[in-house]
Amino acid sequence: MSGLVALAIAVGVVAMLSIGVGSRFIPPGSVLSALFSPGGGFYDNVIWELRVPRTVAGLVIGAALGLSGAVMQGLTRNPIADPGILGVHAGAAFGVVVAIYVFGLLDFRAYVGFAFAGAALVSAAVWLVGSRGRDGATPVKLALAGAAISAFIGSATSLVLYADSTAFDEFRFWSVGSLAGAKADLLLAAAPFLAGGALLAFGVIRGLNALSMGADVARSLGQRVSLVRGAAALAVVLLSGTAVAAVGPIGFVGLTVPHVARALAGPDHRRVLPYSALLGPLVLLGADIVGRVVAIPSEVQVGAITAAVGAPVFIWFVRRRAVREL
Amino acid sequence: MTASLHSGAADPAPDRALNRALGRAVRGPGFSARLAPRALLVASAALAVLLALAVASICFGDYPLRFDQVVDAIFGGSGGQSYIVQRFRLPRAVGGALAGALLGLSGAVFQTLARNVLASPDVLGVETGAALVTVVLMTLGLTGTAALTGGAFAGAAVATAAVYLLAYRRGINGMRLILVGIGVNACVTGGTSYVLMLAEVHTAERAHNWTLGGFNGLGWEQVAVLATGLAVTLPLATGLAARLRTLSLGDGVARALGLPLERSRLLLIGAGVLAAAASVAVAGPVAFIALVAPQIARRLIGRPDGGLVTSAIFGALLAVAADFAGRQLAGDAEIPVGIVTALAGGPWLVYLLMKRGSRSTNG
Repeated sequence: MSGLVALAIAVGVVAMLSIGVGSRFIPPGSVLSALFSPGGGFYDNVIWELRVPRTVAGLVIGAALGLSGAVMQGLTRNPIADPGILGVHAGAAFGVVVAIYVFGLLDFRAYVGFAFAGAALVSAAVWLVGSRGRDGATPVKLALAGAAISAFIGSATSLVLYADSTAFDEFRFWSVGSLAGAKADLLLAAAPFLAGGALLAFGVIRGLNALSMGADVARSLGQRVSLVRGAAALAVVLLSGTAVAAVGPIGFVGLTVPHVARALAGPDHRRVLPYSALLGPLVLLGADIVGRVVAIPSEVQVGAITAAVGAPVFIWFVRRRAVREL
Repeated sequence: MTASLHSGAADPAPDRALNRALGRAVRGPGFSARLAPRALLVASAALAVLLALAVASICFGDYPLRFDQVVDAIFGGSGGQSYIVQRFRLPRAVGGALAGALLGLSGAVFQTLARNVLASPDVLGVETGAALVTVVLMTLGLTGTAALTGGAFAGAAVATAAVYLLAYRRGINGMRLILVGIGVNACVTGGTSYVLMLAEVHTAERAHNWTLGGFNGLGWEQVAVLATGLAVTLPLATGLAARLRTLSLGDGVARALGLPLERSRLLLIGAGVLAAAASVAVAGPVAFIALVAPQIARRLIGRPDGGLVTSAIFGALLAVAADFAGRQLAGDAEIPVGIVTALAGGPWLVYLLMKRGSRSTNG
């Protein structure tokens, strides 16, 4: 419990930093006064119009990415599972592009459904392809299926972008993954989906714990395995589909966070999930702050930062342990 | 799992069938050669189809030409028709075939080397590396052919070297190589997206279109670069083919047979990277050809390694066919060849994964 409290305090500190740090640095005193007694302060506008929505987005999306990664790794029993690696991002991106190009939908509320549909279809396809055979869904087979189907869907996305330069111009900003465009109304629209996904994720904790001993053991412990798997998959699709639709594909947070959570909290999902939900915002906001200061006065989008830092971590996993287990 | 890791080169074919596929030895005073009727038959049939496709792709277009007009235009002739053929359609067909042949050759080398049918230059970072450097150069305004070709070549080589070195750990494991490739690709693609976002919109669009691969800009200059690439890498790779076959038996056996292991492997990787990088640098990334061509060759010949030359011929065949399809399918517009190959090759890869998945038994 003390670990969770410490993490929560750390998240609070990073959130304060995220409000204060940027192309214009705001001293902590002004941040606090603007937050708790708004009205009249010099920085009120910047803080409430830009920094607070961005920080809230970092908190919410970070939690969603951390949770979805933890559920995905528990569901697939796969240390290198990540919504990006397993094709969820590519599927959601394709859904968004179809919504923009074919149906002309430019509003988040309109295209989030397409993002879900794409994410769900591709996840189902990856699982179907990756779990064939007597040894079931091994990490390698899932990763390969994810890469193959991502490449296929990605080229379909490219075809649409090739045909329509307006869609391409929209897409290239979205596809980096950035918190900078997050506005209050977007977050309000995303909130119900994220809340639903989080509730589902915490609802299947017992099922995930049972599944970690294998489907047969889970069944004999009285779990309805296909129900648990379905609910967990739905949670992943809701959480990472919404995150991708809202801020673009941000890779590797869902991959690394659950590993840190397990290192801190052990393998029990009752502890892994809350830890992941707190570590996710910590990592995402941290990366976002780094992105804001490395290239002052301009900034580097958080998706580029997580890709640059996360890919080496992935490779390290592959070298160190993943392959030994395969 | 180990069984399926290595299933690429180790189909348990009955000895007699294998011997028939490998052909029979012909010995005379002072020479010996192997005569493989089936491989020769497959290769010449593929060459004939390739030729027919190339001619068809020269005939069809915004301005259709009859066969005899094309022949006239190629062998001398003057005026509008021969201008169209000699200036645009012929270099496009020849260049596309050469680019595909380089990819097929490279794929055959890597798949045999890593003993894994999924190891292709696409997976090892050749395409994403070349794409990143090209996009950066275009954004900086360096759009000269020499700069772009050289840059793409360097990007491809560096990315592949990085994947290989990062995956090296007391030898190379095919699966580790592929997984590291997925990681490096993800990272490099992130960088490409970032640069595309920074660029001015028209530059970004041009750069993005380059990353889709395309033969429409090919002229004789580019054909010369591709031909040089093939002239260097094909003899190099076929000269090392015997070593490649020994390597495909596994490191232990190869060492026991007295093969200089690391040197042979390094030379072969060099040839494979060189071939793929030359193709990507000139024609842009054309996905999946390197993956698919050697496997078609392998299946048709019925021989575990498929043969380097046959793989190259099938690579050329696929490239010309995809380019032709991309021009015909969309009416007035043109679908970039890389998208055609990806849309057609993706399901093939999925099929392959499903087949492997159901075959592997021990977990």
